[in-house]
Amino acid sequence: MRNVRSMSDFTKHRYENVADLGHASYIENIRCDESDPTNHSMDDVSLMYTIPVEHYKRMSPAKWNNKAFSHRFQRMCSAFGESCLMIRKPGLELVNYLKHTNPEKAVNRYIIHGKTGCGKSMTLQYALHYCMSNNWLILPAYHFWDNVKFNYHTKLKRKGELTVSQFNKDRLDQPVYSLKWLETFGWLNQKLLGEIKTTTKYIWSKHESSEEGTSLSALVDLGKARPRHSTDVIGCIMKEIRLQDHTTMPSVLVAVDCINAAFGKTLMKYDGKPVTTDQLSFMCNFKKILSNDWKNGAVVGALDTLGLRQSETTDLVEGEHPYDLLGREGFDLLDPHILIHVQPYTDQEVLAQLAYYKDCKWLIDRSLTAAGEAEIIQLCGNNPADITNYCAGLY
Amino acid sequence: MAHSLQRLLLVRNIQWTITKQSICVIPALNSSYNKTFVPPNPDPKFYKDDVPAKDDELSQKNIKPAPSDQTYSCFYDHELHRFEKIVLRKGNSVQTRQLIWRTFEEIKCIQLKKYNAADEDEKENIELNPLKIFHQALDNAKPLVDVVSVSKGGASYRVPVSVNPNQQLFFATKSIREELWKGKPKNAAALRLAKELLAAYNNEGGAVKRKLDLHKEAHANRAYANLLHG
Repeated sequence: MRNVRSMSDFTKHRYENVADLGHASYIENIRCDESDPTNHSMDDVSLMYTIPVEHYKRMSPAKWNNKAFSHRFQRMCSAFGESCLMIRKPGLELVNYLKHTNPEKAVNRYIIHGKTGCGKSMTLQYALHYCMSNNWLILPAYHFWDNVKFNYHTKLKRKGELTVSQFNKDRLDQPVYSLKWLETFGWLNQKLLGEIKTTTKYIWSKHESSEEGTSLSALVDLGKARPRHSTDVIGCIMKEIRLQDHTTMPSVLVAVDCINAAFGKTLMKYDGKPVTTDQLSFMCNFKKILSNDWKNGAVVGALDTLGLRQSETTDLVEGEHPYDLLGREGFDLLDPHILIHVQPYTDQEVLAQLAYYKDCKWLIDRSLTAAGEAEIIQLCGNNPADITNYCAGLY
Repeated sequence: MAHSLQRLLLVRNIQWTITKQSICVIPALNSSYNKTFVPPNPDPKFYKDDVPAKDDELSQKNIKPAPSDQTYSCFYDHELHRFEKIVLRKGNSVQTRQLIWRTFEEIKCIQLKKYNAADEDEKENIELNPLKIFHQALDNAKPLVDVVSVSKGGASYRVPVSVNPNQQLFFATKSIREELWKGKPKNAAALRLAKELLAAYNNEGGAVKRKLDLHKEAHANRAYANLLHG
């Protein structure tokens, strides 16, 4: 019977409707036992596989503020005590291409594109994990925007960032950035670098030089010890990769996140004049390795639009097609390339993601009900990043 | 002055009358309603399951509209909503919304790490739901009595008085909020708030200490309790 008293205590109303659970809590098959991406097939789509702890530590070291994975993903991994990725169709497609690379022919370029938050960087990390478990040499460049613009708070740091190159006086070095890059490169390829030897003699200054036949690990150590020459060391490593064959060099993966940053504008200034990307020696070296005049490897690049909104100088971009983001110059450089389109989740994948969160106890009572699940799917609209961001503070 | 303002408001307000029993979302001032109006119960389950009958008590009554900021989302919580509005600064409700989402994320991370490290016997005692932690923390910070200063015969006295649940909630949120704003910040605001809530959940921290201090003062001045009415 309804009376006045029932109306007055609406403030104490709390949702207690746990009886009807959503679809996600009835899914039984959540995880994939196979932790090596080489053995995944189309039957494993929408399953979560765990990255081994050693591999995950190499992919995203806790020492440096590395941007291989997003901040939220790293924090969730530390909370769960494990690191899981979902097996998806574009990732399998890319790995299948990489499996059939011919070391005696010119490299293929793969460009990952799609809407923001659909998992472009994650497919790139999936391919990187495949290459890591098959002993490829990896040239990483995560969050390429950092190279183009420095988000430091003080002006002094920004001024001290650029120095004139030792090799070419017209170009500018970024010692801090190149030190970070050498650290990540050395950390990723710990076991391989000792076996690879140089083919020519390099002279750094009057007193310092490295002989023919020195290993790459010695070069990396030299770059770390002498920040003045660190950018030139990177150039030498890239030159060696382009010169050597598959007999002396393992196959190479160039993994670039936010590849369109290389062809945009910079926010830096030197002597009161704006700096272009062609003036930066690190960028010049990287653009050479993005072209297809070398063998035994692959180039994988993921596009990004989030950095465009942050920067003030770049013009507005019309669409999300690679031509719009890369521009004329970038599209010409990467011209024969294979496109990999990353689409938002299918309905099956959304439920698999929510089921995984339930298994890790990230989602608890209200969000597991039918009404809660319907609300999550309605608000996020099958976008993976939106689901992770929305479920982060959910109860 | 106050009386004339009230009269003006009464003239300018349109008196909303609701002919049907329905959930109305038109915002209106409380002053426009008579005492015959009944407060609303904006719960879909209440209206769907309990079908109105002819002999019903409510069939004869007028009902006020629902508050405009209430939603029918299953994640809506009234106490949390009040907390948000009190912590609000400069009307920037997006910022406070983000702050609370992030605090819940921090609480989940801290509790999950504890949960994974604990033995199987201890796992049942660890609370993982951030909303339940939030409610428990607020309940621990709520005072049972309040103290008001009253001037009598040229001297002011601190007089203990009773409090209603609305005042209790306001005091608890205020004490947590002032802990948040205190001193120079070292961490992010979300992490500080999460730590404060977890401390209050375990009956520790600054917010609970404020409550205990108030209780002490009220107990010391219990002799003045009759001053308000005398």
